[in-house]
Amino acid sequence: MALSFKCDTGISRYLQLKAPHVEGFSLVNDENETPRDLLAKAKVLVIGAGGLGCEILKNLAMSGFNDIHVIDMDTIDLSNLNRQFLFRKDDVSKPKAEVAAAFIRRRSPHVSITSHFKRIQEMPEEFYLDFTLIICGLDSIEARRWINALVCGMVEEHGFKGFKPIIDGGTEGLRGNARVILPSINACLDCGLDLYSKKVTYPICTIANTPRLPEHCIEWASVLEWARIFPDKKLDGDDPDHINWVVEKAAARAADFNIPGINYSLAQGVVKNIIPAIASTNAIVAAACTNEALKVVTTCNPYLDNYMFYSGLEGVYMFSFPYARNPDCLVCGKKAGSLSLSANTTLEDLITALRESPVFQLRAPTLSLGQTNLYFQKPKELEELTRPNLAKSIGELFESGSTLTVTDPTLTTSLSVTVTFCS
Amino acid sequence: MGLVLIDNNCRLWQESGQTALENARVCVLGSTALAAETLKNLVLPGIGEFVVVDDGVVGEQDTLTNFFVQVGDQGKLRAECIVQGLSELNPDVKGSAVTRSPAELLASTDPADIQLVASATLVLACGQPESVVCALSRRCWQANVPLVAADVAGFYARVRTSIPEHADTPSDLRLLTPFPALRNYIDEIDFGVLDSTDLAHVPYPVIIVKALKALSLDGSAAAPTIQQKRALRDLIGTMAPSPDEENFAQAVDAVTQHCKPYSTPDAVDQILNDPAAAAPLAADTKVDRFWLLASALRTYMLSDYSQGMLPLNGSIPDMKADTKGYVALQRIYKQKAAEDAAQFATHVARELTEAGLPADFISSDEVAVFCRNACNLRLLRFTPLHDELEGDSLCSTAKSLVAAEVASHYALFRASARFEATHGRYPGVTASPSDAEMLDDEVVANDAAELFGIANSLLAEWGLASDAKVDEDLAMEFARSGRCELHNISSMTGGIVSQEAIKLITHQYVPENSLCVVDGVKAKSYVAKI
Repeated sequence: MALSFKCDTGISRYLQLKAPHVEGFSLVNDENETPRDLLAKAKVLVIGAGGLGCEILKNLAMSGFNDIHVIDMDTIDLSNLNRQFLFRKDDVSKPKAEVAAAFIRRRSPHVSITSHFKRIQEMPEEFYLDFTLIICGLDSIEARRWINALVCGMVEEHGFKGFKPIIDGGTEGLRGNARVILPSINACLDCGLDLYSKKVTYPICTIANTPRLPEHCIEWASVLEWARIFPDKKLDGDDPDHINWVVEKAAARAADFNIPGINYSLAQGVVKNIIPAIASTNAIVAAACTNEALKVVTTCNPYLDNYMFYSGLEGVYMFSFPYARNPDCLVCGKKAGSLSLSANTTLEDLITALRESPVFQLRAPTLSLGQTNLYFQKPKELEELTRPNLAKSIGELFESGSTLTVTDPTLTTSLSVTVTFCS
Repeated sequence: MGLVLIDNNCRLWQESGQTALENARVCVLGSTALAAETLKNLVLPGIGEFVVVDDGVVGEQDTLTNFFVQVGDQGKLRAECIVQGLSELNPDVKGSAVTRSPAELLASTDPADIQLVASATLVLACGQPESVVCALSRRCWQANVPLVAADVAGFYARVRTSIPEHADTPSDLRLLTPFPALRNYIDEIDFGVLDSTDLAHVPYPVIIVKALKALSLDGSAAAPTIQQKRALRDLIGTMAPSPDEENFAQAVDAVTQHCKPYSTPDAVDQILNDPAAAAPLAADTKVDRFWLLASALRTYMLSDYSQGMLPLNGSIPDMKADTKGYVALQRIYKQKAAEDAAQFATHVARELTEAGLPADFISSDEVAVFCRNACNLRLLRFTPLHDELEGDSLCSTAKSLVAAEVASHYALFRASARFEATHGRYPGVTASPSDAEMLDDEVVANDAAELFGIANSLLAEWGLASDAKVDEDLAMEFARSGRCELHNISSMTGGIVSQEAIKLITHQYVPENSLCVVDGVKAKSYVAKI
């Protein structure tokens, strides 16, 4: 059910009054639709129902959007409550997407809101084809890359029907950014992948339950254990006794989970450089995202071209600029990468290079050359069969200038990587 | 609730900041979406208490733009509705509503009404007319209470910070004049017995102090000359076991930064030389902990112990070194910082005794944070908002609006208020809600033309006629807004206002001084010092 707006209040003014900043403004488009029609029929997908997601859902509901979907695989943790304002203490351990949707539904009964307690990778392409645009409020670069690759692929395959703008927001302490990605038209997420190469935030649930990195163990020791053992003492990143204690505890935990790489300098780096998410920055970035969504959908004002940066560290700084497309982009450009390595490099080191290089940042690459399987991450049988190749040098496995086919969980399609041997 | 919940905040603004937040009482004038969205971001991290002052009643538009009123709240008092909605977010926060008009409250001479504003930690004015902002600013200025005033016009928002002053508390290695513990430690290291691997892991401060000593430059009160610095770099080069050792390269690079006589930063000198640092209790309104600390720092600096040097911060940068050598160095700086901090604390204690204040008037945590950040102290001075809006103090700083490319936006905000004073309505708004159907592009265009004229004459009044012109499209967009609130822009501005509030309350990070205009059409902000 659509709401009736009084002409002289709020958003409805912008749906019918002339827009001075829109070039060649007309109240109806080629399809004879008004901004009001466009807003009424827009179907928006919100990925992530965390700190940004809660804000985004609220903003969409309060901006006149009335068909909203939200997808998130996480459940609510006690540590979320200081910023994820749609959740209460009684909601802890329930699915974020469902609780957030139910809250919005109670507040704004006229809005249709649908929740999906799922991983984004579990949904078929048809699901994504159905939306007008997608807004991401994620803390993981991997999920961002996956949806970006999917949407870039969709526009190639389906043309205009597959064209889904992505509006992406991210925050780090008192800083954040928002961007409008028009697949095939402006820079996609992978075009600026090196912007994301520094990972600095770790979800508390990962720290508490499923550590993978040495940083997770350090966080566990410095945040959870320290507070438990020394409830009245503040951890000082410059105090060697404190850091040594953290190193000791983190190393023990890392040993339990078979994670290598704990040392003093890493511990100090993590303890002193943690940049957590806070409510005010989330509000700014989420509102920037939904403000752009409103403009993109209704054309009531020009939308962001295409990157906005915010910092509250020194005064208030909000700046926008057009981030350039990368013609060599692995996702929306020529889809081919190259690596120059010594012929003595082992296949395992090649895989490490694909994981660590700022251009690739792959997670678990599978490699083949024509019909030859070089290394497969799964299934188990193929992994075992190809594992001996890991120790072989690439010079034994293929010639310089060979183009490998690479697949990876962060990408929806395969990638060509040409490997040349350097002396 | 407790620890886990606030943990994220503590990592950004330390426990001392969190304590300041939990002890703060914020008074907010206004209860529309802008006020509610601002408060949301203060209630979530655990502000101590908030009071909302407004007599507005929930209308249909509120249910559409203000998330913290309910659809069924129409006709109820809006301040009470948002207090209820916001209080649910954090049971540790105390919220209350004063359902009176802000103008009436400010006109009242009842001491309790005066105190509501004067005893607040911070006051926020959200979407208030200029007359209310001026009266409020005057009261806040007299009581030395920081004020942040914000209003929204569709896609545009204005945030203005007005406080008598704001002191902001956010590496110093002392290599030319090493303190005794550092001197002794380095003297005990003998490069002659170290093999090349050990040498490659000597932290660069050790290398520099050794080289300074070899050239008899240590303890010098004067800065080394260019020739001496060159000799120093050359000597360091010859000390390296091989030409490309990273730690020796770091030592060479660090010569310029670290081989100079000690001097206190200008910003800190300015604070120490301020009359308030000599007589912190002269200000009659309220006892200011910052100036008590500054006064203690002043006496510390005059003491024999300090030799005119600020308390050591104790933090050392990352550098090429093995863990043992780095930790040893870290320990020495840390130890010296602790000794300095203990000395400084005795000055604070004396200051409090002399002022007849209890010993815990300033927490030891706060003393420690102040001491650790002594070299980063900064004092910001602001123009009172009532002078900006009523007087002619703008003329002297108006050029900053031009430099910031915000003269047009700013003039249009001010022109909207003049328009309202003449017509009893804001540009682009119909005379009464029943005339709503009459609103069309022509009405907006007429108001925009008048607004454009007023804004241009304002620029002329400020002496900017030849520097800036009002943008016609911008005037049209202002009239198009009808000074309405769009939820997104209110939420974004609420995010900015709350973040500024947190900076002011915690005395951490740097607040904007003093005007910020948000442009939601261009996704940009403009800032200028007024």
